[in-house]
Amino acid sequence: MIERQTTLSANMVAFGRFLRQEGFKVSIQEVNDALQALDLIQPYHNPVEFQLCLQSALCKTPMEIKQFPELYQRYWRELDKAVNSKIKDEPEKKPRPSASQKQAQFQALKNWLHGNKQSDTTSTAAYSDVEASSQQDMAMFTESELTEVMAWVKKLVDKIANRRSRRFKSTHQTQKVDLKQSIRKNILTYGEIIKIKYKKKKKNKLDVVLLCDVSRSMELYSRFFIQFMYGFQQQFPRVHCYIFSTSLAPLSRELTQVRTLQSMQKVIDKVNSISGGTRIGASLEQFAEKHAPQTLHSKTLVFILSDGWDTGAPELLSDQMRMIHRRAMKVIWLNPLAGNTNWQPEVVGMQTAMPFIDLLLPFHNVENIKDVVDKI
Amino acid sequence: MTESLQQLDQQLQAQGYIADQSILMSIYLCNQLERPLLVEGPPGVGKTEIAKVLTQIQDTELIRLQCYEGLGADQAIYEWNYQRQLLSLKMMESEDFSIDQKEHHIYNEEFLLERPLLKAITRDKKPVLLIDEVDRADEEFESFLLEILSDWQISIPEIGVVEAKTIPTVIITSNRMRNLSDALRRRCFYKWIDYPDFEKEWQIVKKKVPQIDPKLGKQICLFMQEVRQMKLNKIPGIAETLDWTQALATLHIDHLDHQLVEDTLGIILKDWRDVRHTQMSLSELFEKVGTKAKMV
Repeated sequence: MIERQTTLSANMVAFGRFLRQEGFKVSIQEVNDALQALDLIQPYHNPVEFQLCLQSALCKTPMEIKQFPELYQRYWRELDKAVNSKIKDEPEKKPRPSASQKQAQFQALKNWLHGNKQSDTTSTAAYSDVEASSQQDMAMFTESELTEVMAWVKKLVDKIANRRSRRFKSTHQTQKVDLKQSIRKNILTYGEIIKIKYKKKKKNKLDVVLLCDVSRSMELYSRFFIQFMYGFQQQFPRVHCYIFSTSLAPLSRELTQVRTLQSMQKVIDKVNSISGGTRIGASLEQFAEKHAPQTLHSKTLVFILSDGWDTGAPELLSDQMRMIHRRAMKVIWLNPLAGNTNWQPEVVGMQTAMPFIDLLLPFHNVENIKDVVDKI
Repeated sequence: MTESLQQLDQQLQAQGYIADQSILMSIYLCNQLERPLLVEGPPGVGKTEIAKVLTQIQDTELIRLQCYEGLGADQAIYEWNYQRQLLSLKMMESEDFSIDQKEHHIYNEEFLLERPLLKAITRDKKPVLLIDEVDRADEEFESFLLEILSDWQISIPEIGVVEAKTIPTVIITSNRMRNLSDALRRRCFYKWIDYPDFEKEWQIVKKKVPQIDPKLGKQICLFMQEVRQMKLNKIPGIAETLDWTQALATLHIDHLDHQLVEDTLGIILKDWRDVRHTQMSLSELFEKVGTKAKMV
C-alpha cells in the first residue's frame, strides 16, 4: 500500500521503493539523481517531460526502460487510489477451472453413470524415479528432495567453476616464477633480479546457458527440471535459464527471486503458462536473436534439456543448432528418454540436432546429475 | 519543451544530429549533473556520434579510448616511461644525489606517460571523453573506470592522487556484447538508442545528404525500415542508410528499381546470407515500400 506523501522528495523516495519492489536496482543515489534532475529541468507543467526526466535518472538497463512507462502509470494510479476512495479496483476474477480439469470431472461422471469403475492410471513410456506430477503437487517441493538436488548441483557447479585455464595470471603467492614479468620489474636494478614475480594458472570463468523444454511431452519431468534449474541458479550466478515450448522465455529473474519454497509458485506459473506444443527450432531462433549475443561465447556451456520431439521445420532446428554449436564451447543435450537401454535417437528433432551435440546424456532423476558431473 | 532543452536541440541540429526528446533529456542531464552517459544500442545508430557532436558544440577536445580485449591500465590510464627513467638515472650517476632524491626525481610527472583517462582529467578546458565499445574490454577493466567516474580522480601509488582539474563530459558506448556490471551502470546515466522510425531517419538523411531527391530519399528510408523487419544476421543501421543514400546520390539516380537495389545491396548488407535472403524477397519488399510510399 502506498501512502500519500506531500513533499516531492518524500514522494520520490516512495516511488524509488516502489520500483525496488518491482526488481529495479534503485539506490539512494538514483533517487537523489532523479530529484536533482527534476530540480534542474523543472518539468512540473509537462507530464511527458516529467516522466522522461525520471526515466533518464532511474533506468539503467534496456529491460528497465521497457518496463518503466507501465510501472510509472501504475504507481500514480495506485497513489490516486490511496487518496481517493472512490476509485476502486475491479473485483478479481476467480480463475476458471481449466479445460482438462473439466474433462476429467466429466469423464468421471460419465463412468459413474455407465456403472463403470474408474480405470487405472494409464501407463506412459517415461522413465522416472520421481512420481508423475500434476500441476498441483509440483508446488509442494519437499525440503529433502531439494537438498539432494542441491548437493549434486553443487558438485556440478564446482566442477564447472573451478576449471583451470591454460593461461597464467600473476599472483602474490609463491608459485611458478613468471620470468617475463620478473625481468621487466627488475629493469630498474639493471637486470639484477631482486624481486621475483609469480604466476599461477588462471581460473576459467565459464558461463552456462540452460535451455529447458517444458512442453506437454516433458510434463512428467518438469518438476525435476525446475528443481535442477533452481539449484543451478542459486549456486552459480553465471547461469542463464530459459524455458521453451513453442516460444522461449527467460526464467533466471524469477528463479533468483525465489526466497522460500512457497514463492516458487511464480516460477511454476510461468512454466505452466508457456507449456504447450514443441517448436525447438523457433525457440532457439528466438534465443539466438535476443539472448545469444550476451550469453554465447567461447566459454559458454550450453545445456539443452529436451526429449527432442519437435513439430517445427528440421532445417530451422539444424540452422540454429549449428549456430549455437559454433559459438559455444560445448553443447550438452540432456534427454530424459535416453535412460532407457532401447532408446535410439530416432525422433526427427533429435536426429537433426545430433551432429551439433558434443555430449548426449540421459537425464530424468537426481542420479543422472552425477553422470553429468563425471562426464562433463 | 523547456527552454534549455530546446536550446540544446537547436545546437545538436546545427551539428547535424537529430535527437528525440529522451536522448535530449539524457544528454542535458549528464552535462548539468556532471555524470557519465552510458549509451547502448545496436551498431550504427549514432552512439559514438553523440560524443563527436558534443565536442563540436562545446568547441573542445575529443579524447577517445577505444576498448578491446586485453586493454589494461597501462594503455588506458597511465604508464611510467621506463626507458627515460633509466636514462635519467644513468645520467645522474656521476652527480652526487642520495637514493631518496633520485627516486623522487624519476617518479615525477615528466616521466609519466598520459593515457586517455589521465589525459581527460588533467586538461584545463573541459574535454569530451569517449570510451568506445566498453563491452569489448574485459570485465576487470570496468573496475579501473569506477574510481575515475565516481570521484574524478586517479590514484598513482608513486605520486599520490591526481584530482581532476575539470570534469570531462564522458560518453560510454556499448553494443551489449556482454552485460556490463551494475557498479558501472550505477555511476552513469543510461540511454538505450534503437533503430530510428521512418520520420527520424528521413530527417537524418535530409540533414546529412541534402542534395538527395526527396522522393528517392523517402523511398530509401521506407526500404530500410522494411529491411530491418526481416530476419537478418546483421541489421543495417543509420550509417548504412547514409552510405547508400550517398552512393545513390552520387550516381544521380532518382528512383529505386529492382536491378539497382540488387546491384547495390552490398552497401547496406554485410553478410552473404542476408544478401541472398533479401534478394529472394526483393519483390515483396518493393510491394510493401510501394504501398507505404503512397501513404507518406
